[in-house]
Amino acid sequence: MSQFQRKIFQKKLKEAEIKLGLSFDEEAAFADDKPTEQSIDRTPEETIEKVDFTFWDKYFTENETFQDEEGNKFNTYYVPPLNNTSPVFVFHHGAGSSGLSFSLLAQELVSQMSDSKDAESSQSICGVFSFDARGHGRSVINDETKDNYSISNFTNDFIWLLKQLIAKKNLHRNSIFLVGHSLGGAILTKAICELNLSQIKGLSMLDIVEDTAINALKGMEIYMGNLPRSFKTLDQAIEWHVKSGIPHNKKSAEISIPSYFKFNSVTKNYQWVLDLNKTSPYWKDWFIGLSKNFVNAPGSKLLILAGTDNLDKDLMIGQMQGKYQLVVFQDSGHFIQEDTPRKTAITLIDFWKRNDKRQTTIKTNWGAN
Amino acid sequence: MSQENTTEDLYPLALLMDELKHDDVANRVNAVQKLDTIALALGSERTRTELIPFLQEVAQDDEDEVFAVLAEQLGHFVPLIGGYEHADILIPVLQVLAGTEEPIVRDKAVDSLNEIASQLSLEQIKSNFYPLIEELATAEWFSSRVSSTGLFQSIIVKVEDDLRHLLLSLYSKLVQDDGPMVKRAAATHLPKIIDLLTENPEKSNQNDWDLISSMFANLTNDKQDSVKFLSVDVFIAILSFFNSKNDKSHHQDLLNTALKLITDSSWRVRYMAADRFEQIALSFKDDQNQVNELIEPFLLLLKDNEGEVRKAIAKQLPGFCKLINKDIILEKILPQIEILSNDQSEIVRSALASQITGVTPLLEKDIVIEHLLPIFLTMLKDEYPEVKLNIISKLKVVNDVIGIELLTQSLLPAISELAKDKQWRVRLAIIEYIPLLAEQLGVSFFDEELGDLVLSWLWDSVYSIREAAVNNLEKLAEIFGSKWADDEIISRVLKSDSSTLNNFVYRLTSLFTLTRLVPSVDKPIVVNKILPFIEDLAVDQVPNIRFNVAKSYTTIAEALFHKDDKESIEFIDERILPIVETLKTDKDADVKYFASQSYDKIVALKAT
Amino acid sequence: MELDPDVPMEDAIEDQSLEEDEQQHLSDDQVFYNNQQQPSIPKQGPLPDLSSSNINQLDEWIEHLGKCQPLSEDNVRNLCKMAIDVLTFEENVQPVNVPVTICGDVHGQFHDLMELFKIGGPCPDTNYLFMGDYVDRGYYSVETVSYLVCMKVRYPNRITILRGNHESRQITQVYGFYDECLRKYGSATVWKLFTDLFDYFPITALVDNKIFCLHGGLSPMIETIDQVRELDRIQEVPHEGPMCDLLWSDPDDRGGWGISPRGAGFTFGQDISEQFNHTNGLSLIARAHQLVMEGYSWSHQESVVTIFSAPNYCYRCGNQAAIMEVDEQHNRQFLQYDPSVRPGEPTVTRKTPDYFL
Repeated sequence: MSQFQRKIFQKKLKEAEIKLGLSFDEEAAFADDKPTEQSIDRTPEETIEKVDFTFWDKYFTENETFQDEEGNKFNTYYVPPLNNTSPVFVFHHGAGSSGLSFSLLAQELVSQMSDSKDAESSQSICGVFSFDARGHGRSVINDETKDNYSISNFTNDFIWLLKQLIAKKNLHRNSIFLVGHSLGGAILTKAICELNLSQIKGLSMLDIVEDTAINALKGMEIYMGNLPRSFKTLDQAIEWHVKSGIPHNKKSAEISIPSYFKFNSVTKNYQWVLDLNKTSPYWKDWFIGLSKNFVNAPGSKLLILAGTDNLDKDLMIGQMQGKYQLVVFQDSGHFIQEDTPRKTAITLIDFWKRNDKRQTTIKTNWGAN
Repeated sequence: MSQENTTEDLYPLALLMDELKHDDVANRVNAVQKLDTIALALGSERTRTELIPFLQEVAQDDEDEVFAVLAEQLGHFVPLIGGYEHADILIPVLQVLAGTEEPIVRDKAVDSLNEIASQLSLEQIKSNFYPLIEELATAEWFSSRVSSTGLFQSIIVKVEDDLRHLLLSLYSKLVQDDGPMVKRAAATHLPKIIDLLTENPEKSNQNDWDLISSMFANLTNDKQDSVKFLSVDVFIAILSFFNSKNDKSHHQDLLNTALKLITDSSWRVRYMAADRFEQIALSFKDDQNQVNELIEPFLLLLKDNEGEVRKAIAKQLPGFCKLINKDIILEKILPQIEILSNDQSEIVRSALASQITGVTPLLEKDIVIEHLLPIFLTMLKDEYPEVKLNIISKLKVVNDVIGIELLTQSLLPAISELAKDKQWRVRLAIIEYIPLLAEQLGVSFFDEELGDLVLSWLWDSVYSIREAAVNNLEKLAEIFGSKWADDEIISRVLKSDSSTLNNFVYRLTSLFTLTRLVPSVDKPIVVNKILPFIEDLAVDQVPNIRFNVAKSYTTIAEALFHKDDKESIEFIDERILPIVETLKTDKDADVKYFASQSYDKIVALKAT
Repeated sequence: MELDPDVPMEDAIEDQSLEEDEQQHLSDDQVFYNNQQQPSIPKQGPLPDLSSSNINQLDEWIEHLGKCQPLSEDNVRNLCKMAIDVLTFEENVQPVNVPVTICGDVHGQFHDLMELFKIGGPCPDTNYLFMGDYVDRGYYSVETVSYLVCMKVRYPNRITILRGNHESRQITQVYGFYDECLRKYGSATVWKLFTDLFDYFPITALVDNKIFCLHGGLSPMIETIDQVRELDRIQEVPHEGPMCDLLWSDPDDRGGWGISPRGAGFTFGQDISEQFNHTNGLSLIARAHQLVMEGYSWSHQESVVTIFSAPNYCYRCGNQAAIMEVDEQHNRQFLQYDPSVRPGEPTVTRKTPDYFL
């Protein structure tokens, strides 16, 4: 793209951002992805740019790109833990979403632990890590797996990222808790079974049930048919999402939704970063066996559901055998981390307290008499 | 109607309007449910001039729940608006409701319209109801056309020839409608219309029947299974019309159509034909050759590759076999039945099991023995309990043909096995069948073959089986008499060794058994055998035994008591009442309660 | 802060106001013993006999409920009052005599409860001990719990009903009982009456001093049965502590105490069970709480048994149910059963052609 076009675009963007009341940090927005733009621009006759979503720094302290040997780039967000006895919550978003979906939850986790009167929490304030999965947000896949959205690719990406994270940030001694929303839950369940890493103390899935997900896939064609191709403004995009309840929480939508879009300066509208159609060949394998795997996965497990406890057979049996912890947020929509970040944070902190052996000694009065 | 107090007069309508503006649907539904009361309060004239026009507006814009109730209410409105001469003012509201998208609302509106039509004069039908049908039937929106198909039946035999022909022509268009929903609705209601013409033979002519026959042809040739399979019922209705007129001239043609439906490539159509097979065959029963033409198709359906079809046709076996020659049953049907008894689908086997016994009365005894009995025995061993249960419950029919002795001989091994079936409901079914066997077998044969079995059920681990076993023994005692009950049951129950009686369930079951036999055995047995046993249990450690003893004493007193027999009264006073009185002061509340109940009953008995 | 595993935070917060309401309600009505005279709970001495009018009333309700028809709200109110009068006489460790038939979770599967009585025999002829979880998940929680409470009031010596972790205000708001009450009565009154009553249910039972029965399992804070007797049980199930543990814990293959994956209670190993049985002179711990595919399951070399009495749990799990008969000689017999066959319900797997395809 020419320098001229770029300038015009940035001006437009700025206007859009100002309209949204967002701050605009040019450095951060374009620091890393200049070469990437060419690759994401698959229609050279059009000029396509990413949308900036710069106020990530209100929720995270670091925004780095993790690049692997194939040149694949993953956009990540990170807050370091207080010390090496603090837990780190590692998030994975669902299909079509982005790492910023966990912004409010990350903020809640850190602030609740900092403000806690309980020394246990305030002396081990957690770290958080979130990222854009392949094809989402600002992550870019350049190798031959570019349009391959199979669950094993997602899982391999995650495993690589987690290992990078531990190495780069020296988290070898910290307890890690995985938190996956929707498809992210399925990916993390697969990852935890493959990883077998003793420092991972817990796995939490947010609103995902195998049977329900598989049934929902049947309706996806219709859903995608009703999906607007583009939006004139980000405001409209946010409005549309909130109206559709993905998420219900407008405050969170304003943070996460811009990252779903790129701006097309020819058609002068906002288009989806991810073409959901390209993921459809992989749907059927995303969730198969999820419930069984979750119930049998090693370590402590927490399932948070929105609305009702519509468990499928395997989850129902697992729950009634006490294999995992189930929590239901009746007042939340599907995007639990966005709709009810405060309650989710309380639940996750409690989950950490119960299940991080370092924190727990079981008090007993046996033998006292 | 009083005009003195206008506010009061206005009140019901104002209240209704208020309620209908309520945000909560439940309130609006409630309001509409009370429409008849409001109409009554308003009087017929104001109902016509104010309420109905108001409802006309309501019917334009509300929730389906409200519409459904409104549509239903209006069906009872004729008396409220001053009788049928005003009935046509109800039509426009219902016409709107009949055009809504929600099927429940439409159905209610159609029902109400039919209700109203039944009270209209011929003149009103011509000037109001026919135009309504015409408008609905030719409306742009499919839901109105669907509704229209349900309205023809209320006037078709009331109108004169030319209007009837117009109606049928209109209907014929609906049968060929572009919308499958409309076609299906038309096909569904057509049999009813034909039945009406059958019931009123003077109300149709050749022209009408030409139309009906072309409608039928359209349906049977429809490309959609879901329309085509409805033609089976139309077919049956048409046949019954010609049969009622004793007109056989079309039968061969119709038979050919039937054959086509039965062998249709869509399983839904074949299912429908199979499900109605007996009815179809019955329509041809006056010509055995025509019935016989159905044999091969019948066999084809028995071999159908769709389980649902085999299930449906299995149920038609007795009905169809009644219509054909015994030799054909033997040669062609029986081999198929045998195959079906091993069908891979349990629902097919279960359907067969429920009907197959119905074939036995149609066959010679030796043929049943040779061919059907082995099939019954196979099915009695089926892994699926419902198959077994269906056979057991119909064995009486078989018994009537081959006689109990033979049936028992061949069945006894199976019965002994089923008596131990792991499904308690199978065991239960066998027990319930025992008294029938006993009656036919006679004492000696019964004792030899089943004596041990009937007692063994008393000690089953499942309560319901023990209960059924007690009932069974009671019936057997009635059949075989007091001495048998003493020898074969009472003595044997009392012989139970002490370690067995250590178990509370055994003691309780023994108590139940002996108590139930009291009415059917001679008094000395009660006094000398049963009573001592019960007296022992009156001091049982387990309260549950003691309060059941208290209950048993009522039965015993009733059996022994004889108004004119002083001895019997003395016996009750000496042997029974003191123990019951002691139980009345038991430390357990339930023993006290049941002892008091028993005591009061015995005292009341003595007072008679 | 200890979070209840199954319950959203906000419900827990709301619940505090409920507790306050309840206090209000108690003093307003001046019905309940514990508020009026503050008697010691459990109440001592023999339970007063029922009046004959009460007996007739109860027999009528039992017949009505036996047809799976719910009682009216007023009748539920009367029933719960009568039930509190009965349950205040029960102890935290309610003594039970042999013979008795011990049953596990029922979860609103009313027709399967009727099947249970067909297998085990009708009450009062058979003595029963139910170990909690009468409500939630199944479609007939209202009828199920009403029926069992009616039986309890009518035949207090013949049937014992312990409290399960689902007999709680919080859990029932998530797993169906609350919604079912709203649906069947149009208000939460009946839910409130029952959940107030649940506070009075005994939490454990001791069969002939040999079999310790409870819904969940052991607690690291409870070494002797006497320590259970010291608890104040008349309250909502707490989020932690001994009373919570008794209703939430599970036995585990690993020895010692463990964190429960459920988020409440603990897991306990064979060493713990054996020590508890030894200390308290017990032969067995009988408990429910966990779905077991065969309906019952031994653990810890037969020092613990799990009994689950809801066949095909939640209409989808495909499990058998079981009950355990204990006779006067302490012989144990397990009776397994399948879901009841409901009259009129099609057993066919596939429907006949749909007219509106």
